[in-house]
Amino acid sequence: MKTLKYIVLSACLLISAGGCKKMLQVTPEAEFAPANVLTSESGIKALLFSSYQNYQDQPNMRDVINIAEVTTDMAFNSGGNENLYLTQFINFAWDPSMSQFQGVNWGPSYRVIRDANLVLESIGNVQASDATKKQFAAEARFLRALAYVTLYNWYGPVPLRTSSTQDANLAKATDDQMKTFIETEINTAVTDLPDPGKEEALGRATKGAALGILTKFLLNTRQWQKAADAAKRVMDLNYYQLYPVFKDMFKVENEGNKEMIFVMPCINQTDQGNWMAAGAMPTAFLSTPQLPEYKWIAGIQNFATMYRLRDQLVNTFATNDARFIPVMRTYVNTSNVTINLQATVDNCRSMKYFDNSAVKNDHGNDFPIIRYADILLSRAEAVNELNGPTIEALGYINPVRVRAGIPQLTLVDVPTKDLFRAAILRERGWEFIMEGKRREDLIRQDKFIPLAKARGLNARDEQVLFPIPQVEIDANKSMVQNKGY
Amino acid sequence: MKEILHKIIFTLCFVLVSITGAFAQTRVSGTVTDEQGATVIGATVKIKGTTTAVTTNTDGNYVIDVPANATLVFSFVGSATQEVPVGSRTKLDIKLLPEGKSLDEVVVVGYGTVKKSDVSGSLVSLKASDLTPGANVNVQQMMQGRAAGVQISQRSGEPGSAMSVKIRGVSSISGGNDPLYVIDGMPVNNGSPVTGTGAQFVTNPNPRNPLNSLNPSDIQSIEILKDASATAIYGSRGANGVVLITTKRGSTGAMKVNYNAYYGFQRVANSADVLSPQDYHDVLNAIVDAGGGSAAERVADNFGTGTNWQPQLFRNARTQSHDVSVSGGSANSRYFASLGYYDQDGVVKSSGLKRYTARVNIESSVANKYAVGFNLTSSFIKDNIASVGTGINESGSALYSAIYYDPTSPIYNPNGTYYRSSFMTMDNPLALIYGQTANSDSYRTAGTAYAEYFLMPSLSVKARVGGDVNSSQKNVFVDPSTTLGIPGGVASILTGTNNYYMGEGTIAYKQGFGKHDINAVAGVTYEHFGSYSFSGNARGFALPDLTYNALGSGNAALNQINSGRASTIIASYLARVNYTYNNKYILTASFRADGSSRFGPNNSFGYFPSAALAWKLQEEDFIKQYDFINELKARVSYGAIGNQNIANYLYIPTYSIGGDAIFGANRYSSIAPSRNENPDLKWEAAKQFDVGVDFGLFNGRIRGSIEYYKRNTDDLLISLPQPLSTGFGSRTVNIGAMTNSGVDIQLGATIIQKDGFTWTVDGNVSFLKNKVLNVGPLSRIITGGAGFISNATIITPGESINSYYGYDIVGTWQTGDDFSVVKDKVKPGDIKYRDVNNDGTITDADRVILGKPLPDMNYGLTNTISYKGLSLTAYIEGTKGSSILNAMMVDSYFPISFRRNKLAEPYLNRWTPTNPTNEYPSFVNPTSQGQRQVNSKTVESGDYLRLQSARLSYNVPMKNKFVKSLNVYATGNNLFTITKYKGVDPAVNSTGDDVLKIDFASYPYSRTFLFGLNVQF
Repeated sequence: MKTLKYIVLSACLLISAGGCKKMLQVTPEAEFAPANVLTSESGIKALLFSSYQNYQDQPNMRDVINIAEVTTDMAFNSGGNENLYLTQFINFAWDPSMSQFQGVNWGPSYRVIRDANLVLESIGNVQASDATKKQFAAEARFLRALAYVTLYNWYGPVPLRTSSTQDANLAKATDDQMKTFIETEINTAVTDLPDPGKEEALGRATKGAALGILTKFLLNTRQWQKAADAAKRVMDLNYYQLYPVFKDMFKVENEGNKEMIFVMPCINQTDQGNWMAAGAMPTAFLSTPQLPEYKWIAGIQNFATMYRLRDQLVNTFATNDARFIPVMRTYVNTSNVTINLQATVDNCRSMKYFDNSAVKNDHGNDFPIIRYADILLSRAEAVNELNGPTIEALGYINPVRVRAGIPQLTLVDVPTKDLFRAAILRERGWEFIMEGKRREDLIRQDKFIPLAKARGLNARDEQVLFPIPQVEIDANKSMVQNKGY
Repeated sequence: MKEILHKIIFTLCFVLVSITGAFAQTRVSGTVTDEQGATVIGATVKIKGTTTAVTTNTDGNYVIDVPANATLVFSFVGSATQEVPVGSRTKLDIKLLPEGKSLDEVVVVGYGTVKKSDVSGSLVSLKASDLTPGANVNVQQMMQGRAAGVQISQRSGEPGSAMSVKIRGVSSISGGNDPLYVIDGMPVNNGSPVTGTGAQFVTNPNPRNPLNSLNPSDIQSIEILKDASATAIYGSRGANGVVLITTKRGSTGAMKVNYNAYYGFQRVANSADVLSPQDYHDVLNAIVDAGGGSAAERVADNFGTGTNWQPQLFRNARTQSHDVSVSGGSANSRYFASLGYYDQDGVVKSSGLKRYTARVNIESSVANKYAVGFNLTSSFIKDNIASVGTGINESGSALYSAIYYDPTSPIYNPNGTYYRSSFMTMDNPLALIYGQTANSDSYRTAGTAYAEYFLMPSLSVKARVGGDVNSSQKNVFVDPSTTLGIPGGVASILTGTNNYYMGEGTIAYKQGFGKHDINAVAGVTYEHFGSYSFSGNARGFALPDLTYNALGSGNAALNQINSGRASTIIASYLARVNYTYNNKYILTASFRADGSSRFGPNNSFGYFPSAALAWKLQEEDFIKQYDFINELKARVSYGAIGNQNIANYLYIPTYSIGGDAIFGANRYSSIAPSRNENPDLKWEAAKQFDVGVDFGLFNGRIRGSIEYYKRNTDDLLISLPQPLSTGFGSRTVNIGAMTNSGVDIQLGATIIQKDGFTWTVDGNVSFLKNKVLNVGPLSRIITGGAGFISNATIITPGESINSYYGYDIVGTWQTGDDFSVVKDKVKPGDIKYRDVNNDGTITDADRVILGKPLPDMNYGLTNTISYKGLSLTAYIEGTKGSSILNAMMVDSYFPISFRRNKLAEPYLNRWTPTNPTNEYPSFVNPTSQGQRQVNSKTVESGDYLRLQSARLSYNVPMKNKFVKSLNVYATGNNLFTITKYKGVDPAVNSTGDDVLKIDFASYPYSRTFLFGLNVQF
């Protein structure tokens, strides 16, 4: 029993020797140490890719696009869970507590900004060539500016976070601060970004992408001269051109064509794809005579929710407009019955994005963020705003019409600034269906609220901006809600 | 019990004194009864040191001739053996007590034992015989409703599913509310080694219960520690209460062999009451006629017989259990060994559980010299996991799809493939139940060894080491007959191991000095918790025949793999003193210092003191004069306890793998900040006050306790929403406060005890009030949901945690109403909400509190009637004052798509111009004022009263020597439930949360009938 005594005593001693703070030290074995991430080239690159990844939420794009279109004369929605919140957008009855306000834009955009700030703060300490460091910094700057453009588009001025050490309670910047920041940042980024076609992989930032984003921001903030100049800088890159066949421009096999200035790449893998077709397909869709190359097969998901187009827009198409082809008007269902979608009000569909190799709801078609047609039409619009209808302005809109196979406009068709402006808006409607641009286009031309009222809605002028998400209001002591919410 | 025995002994002594003279051979007779006073048939009465023995007859009587100075040994299966010197008595009645319960009963407390009469804190001691009988796979099911202040429910009817156990309410928002379990002195690492569900398999937040590995038949006693005086010795893990489980020990004597077995039948107790095919056709078409849905969604007239989907997934399932144990011992050593087999098929197809367990407990001791012991248990569990969970639409579970699927659809196409309605994005329910399947193999081995050495009779040192390894592999296959399995199927394997080891050294001192008694313990402990996991999935199999057994045969480009590893360390110092003066006044003080690796260097140690006072009034002369009072103990305690149950590493800034960026057609991995770290994180600190009285009256015919408690928790660990503009959604911080107060009443009475007939009633009731005091800088946190439901509840000062927060439906818009008061476009038949701020429109500003998931009251009541060997026990339990969010009602009010099936009652009684009810709307245009999912119709009362079990048992008289005793029984579980809840069952919870309750296509509870026997050789 003596042995037992010693065993017990020494065990107790051993254990009691333990309980000091050092014993409590643990290393997170499956997580990276900040020093290793922030000083190595591969670490900082992975962090930069996180910034990209936060921008590239492919499934989220369906909400971005739908919210920008069901609130306008372009699109409509019914059925499925998405309809339960899209109805509130359709009816101009949104409120700050809706999760879309934090989930679709605010949260992801600020995660892009968070990662970009970390890249910019650390880039000086990274072991890499100067050229690489400059390029990474320029990409981070581009992504941060892009996120602020995206935020501004919905909420107007927002807190300008430019470093990871700012107080969590940060007030909104002024409108001027926002505009200056975005313009300056993009211009800084352009210098070190690669020329179009020289980027490491499709979807990385280029000079063209940065200038394209800048053009649209300047246009949307009605800085016409600057917008016209920025558009010219894109054109002067002498790289981009219109893709000849409109409907084929969006196909997976034509990705990387020279009309696409900046895209959000999609692949047919879970949550990495383009979901628009899943919502656009009508019930039991099999094929459509308008686009015989597309065929539904078992395994491709057809959502309960229906992404529909308003007749108000569909009925304005010239029947021979090439852009009318992806507007599906009849389809063959799985029972081989042909259904006329136009028999139901606001029920045509945009089949811009369809991938015969889609896996479930993930189609491989990239989302166009900026394409060359947009730059041309933006320049036309800016020039018209500056100088009224001119031959120069017509020279930007007509190539787009020619590609669509419809007659060119002349000064006889659009003799006044207002008529030219209206022509641009119509053109943009036909051109950019399901590209998420309609809301900003209408707002820019002061048509967003009037058109809503014309649809019988109780729309308020303040609704040109969306509310700051309630969670931000609750958590950020310095935050003030947008007017009218 | 003790008092009754005292009385018996006193009576016997009196009888003895009146009898004079002794014989060489005396005939002794008497009656053997059990604790409740019921006669025991087949008890063995043996003359010590001889082979002479008799058994009691059907009246519990025995007659035996004994030599002078003989000692009789009374034994019976499940009861403690008693040795009684006969002396000169001729009549000797004996009351047998359950095993482990002696006259001077001791109860297990943290790091030691105390005499039950000297307990100064609040604890409920349950013996194996007190637990709920039935097909129980885990110990928590057996404890359900047995102890006041302990609320237990099974989150679903799935075999072995997670349990919700809350002791005296909830004191944490995000730090977990599960009690600490300690088995034979070793804290249980209660995490699941594998929590994921596998690629394309429906998400299920309720993993299998890790305590399934403990065979309930091996349990001898359970002590539930409720107040701070009892739990503070567990410091940082004591705030949610502590459950001490002691497994069976051998007892000195010949080897006993026990065999327990039952076989049972289960069927679904209740399922969602959805529209029948004909009603669906009629109702939906009527709504289309009234302007709802669309013409294309009209239900065809010639649907044939349609399909009642839910019963297609159900089956009558069997269950069986077999346990064999051997136990015995010599003078100094005792052993207990058992083997167990448990097999339960689920009432939902493709689900079930099989468990094999083995246990060896051995110990050797000489009083006041040494004690060594060794416990080892090992288990293998095979789970079959059906398609159950909180997925939505095309990712929905089989149960979800069966509730909502078009009932006018056939099951199969004419060619034998699954029929898929073009109106449904959900998959065919049968495709899911057969095509989306998973199973897991879990191996768990846990053991402790201890050695105690007495330096002197009053002073001993003890060392204990223990370890627990829990490994699991889950195999998942979604086959190509399901839409999610196209093309080629999707297979996943998820593996994980949780390991735990501990070392503990304690020194104990127990000494009496005249009127002073001291019982003290001090010690140190070190515990390490580790986990690692690996998972991989593959898809696009050219030939899917090999399912998950050949992941390499999938399309390599689509393979995904993941792994993880984490660890936690807790190192502690502890001490307790129990001081008794004159057997009247008891003072207990305890202290624990806990260091945890979950908190940063600034706050890695926490300190948890407690004190308690108890006063045994029955020992005072002024009480002694009242004969009917046998026990009256007043006690009061106060102490600090903590909660550290949060994720690891929250104070350390690190980076982790993020999602993939896509460039061109390729994926690129990314690295992102892991968290918004908080170096100042510390424990949740609870301070609990408890005052109570324990009593025994009329010789124990009435016994019980009444307690009041109040627990204030500060520094709540909250994942505080941060300004999202920081790029982080939340940060774990210590803010906020919450209080739980309540009254626990435990009451038992032996109402009739006469002529072998006994009727006893044991009940408990607890009242609880939970109140959030503050949530730091926020005015409220709105959170919680399942599926498409989000922001269902509110955490705000003055209200119970996670109160349901939504819209009050006051009726239905009627034809004659004044529509000018509302700006929204509503029509007669639409839902009429309460416009709280009277602005003429319904917005989120019109939300109100609609109820709370925590009940005001829980109760349990056991009635036992026994006559001779026959015994009938009925056990009722229930709750009052709680609410539950019915997700099926949400989907019926706001259908994801018009053609989904819906709950029958609202639709059959809906508003129509000829039925202008205010109960339900017309459902023609349910979203005219937006989708208000959480409302006064979807949040329903969760009150219920349930006959949880009834058991009829019979002790078969045994005359032969081979079989010592035989008990046969029949048990029914979940026999009926009284509730107003319109879903499947108000006790289910699909969210995986302790508090927030949502019934989201839950796995239904089953009704079970068991037939069993218990035999001792």
